[in-house]
Amino acid sequence: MNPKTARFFLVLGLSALGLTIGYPITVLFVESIRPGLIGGMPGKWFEVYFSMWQTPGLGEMLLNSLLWGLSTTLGAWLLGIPCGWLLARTNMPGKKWARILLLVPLMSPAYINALAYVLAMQPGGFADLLMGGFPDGIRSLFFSFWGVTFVMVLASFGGVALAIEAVLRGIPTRLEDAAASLGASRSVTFLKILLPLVAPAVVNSGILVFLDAISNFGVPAVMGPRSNLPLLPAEIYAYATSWPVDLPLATALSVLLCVGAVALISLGRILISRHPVGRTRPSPGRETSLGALGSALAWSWFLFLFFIGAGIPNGVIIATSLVENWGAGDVGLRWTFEHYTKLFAPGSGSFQALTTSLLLSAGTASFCVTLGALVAYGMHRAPGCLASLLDSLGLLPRMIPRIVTAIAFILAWNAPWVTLEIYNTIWLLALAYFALYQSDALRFADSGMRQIGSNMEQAAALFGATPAKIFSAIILPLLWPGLFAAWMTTFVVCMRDWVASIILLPPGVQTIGSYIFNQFDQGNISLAMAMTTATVILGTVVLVAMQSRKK
Amino acid sequence: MSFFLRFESIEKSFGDKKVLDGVTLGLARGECVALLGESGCGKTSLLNIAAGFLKADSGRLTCDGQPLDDGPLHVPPRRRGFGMVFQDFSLWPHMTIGRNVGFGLELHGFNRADREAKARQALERVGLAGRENDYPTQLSGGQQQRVAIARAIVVEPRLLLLDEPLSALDARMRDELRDEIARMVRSLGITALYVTHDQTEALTVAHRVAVMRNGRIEQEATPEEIYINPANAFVATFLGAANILNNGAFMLRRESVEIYPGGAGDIPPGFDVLQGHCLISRYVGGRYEVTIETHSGELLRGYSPEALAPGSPASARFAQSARRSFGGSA
Amino acid sequence: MKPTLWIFIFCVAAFLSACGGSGEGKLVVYSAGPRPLAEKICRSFEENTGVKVELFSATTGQIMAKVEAEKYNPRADVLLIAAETPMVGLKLAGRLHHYRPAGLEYPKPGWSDPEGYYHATGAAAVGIAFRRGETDPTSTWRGVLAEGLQNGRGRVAMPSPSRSGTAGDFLLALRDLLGEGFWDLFKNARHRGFEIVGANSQAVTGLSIGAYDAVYCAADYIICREIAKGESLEIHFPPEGCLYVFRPVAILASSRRIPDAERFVDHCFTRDAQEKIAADHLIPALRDLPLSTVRRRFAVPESLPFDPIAALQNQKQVIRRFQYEIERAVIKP
Repeated sequence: MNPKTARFFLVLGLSALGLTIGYPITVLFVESIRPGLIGGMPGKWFEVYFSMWQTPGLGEMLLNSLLWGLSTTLGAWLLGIPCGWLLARTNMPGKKWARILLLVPLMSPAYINALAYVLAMQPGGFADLLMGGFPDGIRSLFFSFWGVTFVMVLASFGGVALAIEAVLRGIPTRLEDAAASLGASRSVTFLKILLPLVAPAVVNSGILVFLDAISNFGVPAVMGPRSNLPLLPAEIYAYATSWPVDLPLATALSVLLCVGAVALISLGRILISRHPVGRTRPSPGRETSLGALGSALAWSWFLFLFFIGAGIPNGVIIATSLVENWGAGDVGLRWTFEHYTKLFAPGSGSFQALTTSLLLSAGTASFCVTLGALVAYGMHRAPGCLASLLDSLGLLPRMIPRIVTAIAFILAWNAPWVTLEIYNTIWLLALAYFALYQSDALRFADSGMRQIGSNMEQAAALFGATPAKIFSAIILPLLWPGLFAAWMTTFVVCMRDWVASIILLPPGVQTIGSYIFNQFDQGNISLAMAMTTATVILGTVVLVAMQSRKK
Repeated sequence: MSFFLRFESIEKSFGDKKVLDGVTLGLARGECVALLGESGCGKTSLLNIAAGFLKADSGRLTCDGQPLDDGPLHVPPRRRGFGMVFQDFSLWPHMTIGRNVGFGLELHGFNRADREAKARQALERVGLAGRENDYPTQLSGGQQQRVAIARAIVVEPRLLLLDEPLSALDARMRDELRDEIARMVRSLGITALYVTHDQTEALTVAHRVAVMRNGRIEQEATPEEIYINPANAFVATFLGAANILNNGAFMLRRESVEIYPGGAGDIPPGFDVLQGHCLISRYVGGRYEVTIETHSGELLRGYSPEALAPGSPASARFAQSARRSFGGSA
Repeated sequence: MKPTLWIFIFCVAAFLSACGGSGEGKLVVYSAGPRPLAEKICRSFEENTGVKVELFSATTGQIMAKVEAEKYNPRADVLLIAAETPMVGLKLAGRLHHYRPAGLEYPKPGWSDPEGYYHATGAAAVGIAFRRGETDPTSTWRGVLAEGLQNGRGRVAMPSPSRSGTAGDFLLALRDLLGEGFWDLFKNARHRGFEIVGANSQAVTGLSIGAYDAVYCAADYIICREIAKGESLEIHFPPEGCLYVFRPVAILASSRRIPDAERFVDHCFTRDAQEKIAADHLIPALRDLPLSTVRRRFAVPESLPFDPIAALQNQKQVIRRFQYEIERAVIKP
């Protein structure tokens, strides 16, 4: 295929990202620089930015947020990297099940996991009920900065593990063998050979964890007041939702958060880019033999992580979903299945939410994957500044708190000059899902493209295949395994989305995320937990299906 | 004869598949032995056992009289003091050429100045002086393999292991580097185990060649011996162009068969002639390689100074002494 | 790969067909929860008038964020939220349409905007919740902060004012009630282990489980709903008076369907709609309507004075100071 087609794909991707990310963020940014410009009543230039500095405790909040992001990242590395190594470099049995164990904690919204932990750990909570008491030291440690970090780490280490596994598979074990044959010990080989080679991937996976942490406000909101942790995203959320609503100020604070994040990320990238790392030839790797004891230890590690990441919270979630009433004191606990019958009653709001989310997530995932394939193709066949612009634009929505992105969507698509009747339709939500969650698909497709040389297309072109034919017959089938994985990941994160859902849902429609949040907010915790359980089971079934068709 | 490196009845299986089936082989000090065989014959596994990346299921490996792999004993690769050159170069992409070569010296505790001097010397030896500050990706495949060789020899290893070092290179580069490796191995007097599937490499580089098939060594001998006196039809064909005649009873090297047009004509004493007709005649530079079908229906390939027309009668003449019969049918 | 491809295509097709167009010509109502209540009211409005309604239901905060983001091209016709302060803000900004439903008689004064821009459809009263049988009937707002509970069981929780609009309003009313000592009282209470938790439902679930012995600033209708579900809880209204959290309805001045919107406001005060509100344990706006059977067990307290205009001006500062000095401050028990 000629570079013209590749460039066309790039332009296609750029217009999609530009429309869904660039345009709303620009509108929002303009609104924060000069509030009221959109409505034709412009205020003073940079007014909010000046007043932003008067926000009390601003420095502390920013510092807290960055520190929180960093400690979450370190924690996720600590738990995730050993998992990645075990999956890529050892012969531990049952790897596909181990991978599923890693992904289960990602399926329920992080704030629900946080709540589950609060229910378990608070005085008189599940831990006390089951274990008849609990050391106060651990409890107070949990209801502190470290507890909030702990819960967020549990929601993110799985992604790190899978990313590390992928990069370790790409580094030939021969490079380590070469060092060993020269007499390098294990630690020297690790420090001097392996670490510099995986460092870029480690940092990149850390960046995603970091961004997710600093833009998350659900976990600190549920646990934050107890742990005395003022964080910037919570402040942004407060400005965006409590009267007097100050969207420009919320935006300005988001910009500040972005700047802080970008500064840290660039620092990380500079640190790792001191050595140029060329592409290595893929060669079959050799797996370290663990032996029975080693395998048992490896599995204990995975099971331990599963237990703290999914076992405890999901146990609490399931238990809570089955409670008819707690009846502390006289009546005693009563169990019921009523919440589930309510959930699956045809025609009920929950049933409708389930189907809407399923269709919406499947549709978004399909679109992300299709576009991701085209764009990744373009990025590899026509590299340049267009490609790198696309790359950074795609990361932008991960740095901004999702509530702010959602508000940007309203401002941009409900602006007076927009004639396209997309606002208040489910299409806008689909657009937002795409903007928020496209980056995974792009990354998967990109790493898939690395393995497809242009000689294969050239061979097809010699037979007179059209570009479309080459794409559908050569590129897509080769990319398919990666794309399928991307589809599943995107599907799962769309299913659990709630921020974009709540703000952007058209009247009369619900998604799983908004349903859970509404039930939670209105005090129907059991129903919220029942829906979470249903989502986790559905997600697990989908993952198991995906893993079992992989060879 | 006391061997420097000795494999004794090495066995190794992967799952149900037995890749090494009682291999016994020795290398004298300063000797270069080539392991020759098709892919999947077990030669790379044997090399990996020598390097210590694999452990033998049974058997014994000793070096300089000390066991390296014997029962539960397994000396890890880093304690063996061997150097290795890999098929895919395996240069560390994040280090400069100079650091790649100097890394082993660093581990052996050389100071910086010595490291740099020795690395420069080693690079000079492989013709890459002055490229110390480049990164591996800036070099061509052949150059990268030269760096890998420099990296392996700079630490003066007890044994050099070469794992198909030329198979990832193009033909011209392969010829050039093959001769260089042969020269280097001779001049350094290094003990080396050279794994390859290419008979020219094996014959050029090695003092002794061991041909492997299905996890066993079929024959081991000097290049001349194994070429002239192959133990069986497999070894014969694997090592070079050979005509196997009389249902595998004997073989004739192609270069000892002279083809000429027409009937048998005069047969010089000590020669045999087979008659038939020409199938293909192709120019191979300076002479023609002709395939004839004999009257008994066997195919025979030899050389002729002139072109023959396909279908025309032709005869093949060869010295009786060139005929090598195998012990049994192989 | 073939079947997967078909599933893929099917999903895209199903998604495309599932996305209908937007509701042109419908009355757009933004209503705070409880969502089932909002849905019931909208459905009966549709049945009675034939006007189609598009309902967006979320928390008050989320609704206000949406309204503000839509400022330049407003979509909503009717707002029904669970706080008075934002309505005052909208009224002062000239963004509300003046409409007074005819013949409306409230149970108590103060339920309606004096100028008639918005009117409470119902109200929740804020009290202190206990488990049944463990109620401390002598507890007062000040007393709980100053001395804790009389029965010595002292684990008291309050929803965070920065997360719950009700708690935010309550904080201002309480500040007026307690005067100077307000901040010190809270600091004192925090020393004794008074806890501030993320959200309303978290506090109430904590009470049901037994993690807390009382919830300071609990909305009556939530407690009544838990009781109706079988939990054994009670609510106590301190004698100093209680904050009424009104649920005002108003029409946005930008509405292009003013007549229908007015009919909707009228509908909110029909006996039919009011019965639905009362059934959710809220105090209905109509004077002669009975409370729900569960709600009837508890008193209808006197109202604490609450000035929404002052709240609008000070609330952010007060909540922020509360966040820093009380909620998030490191106070050693």
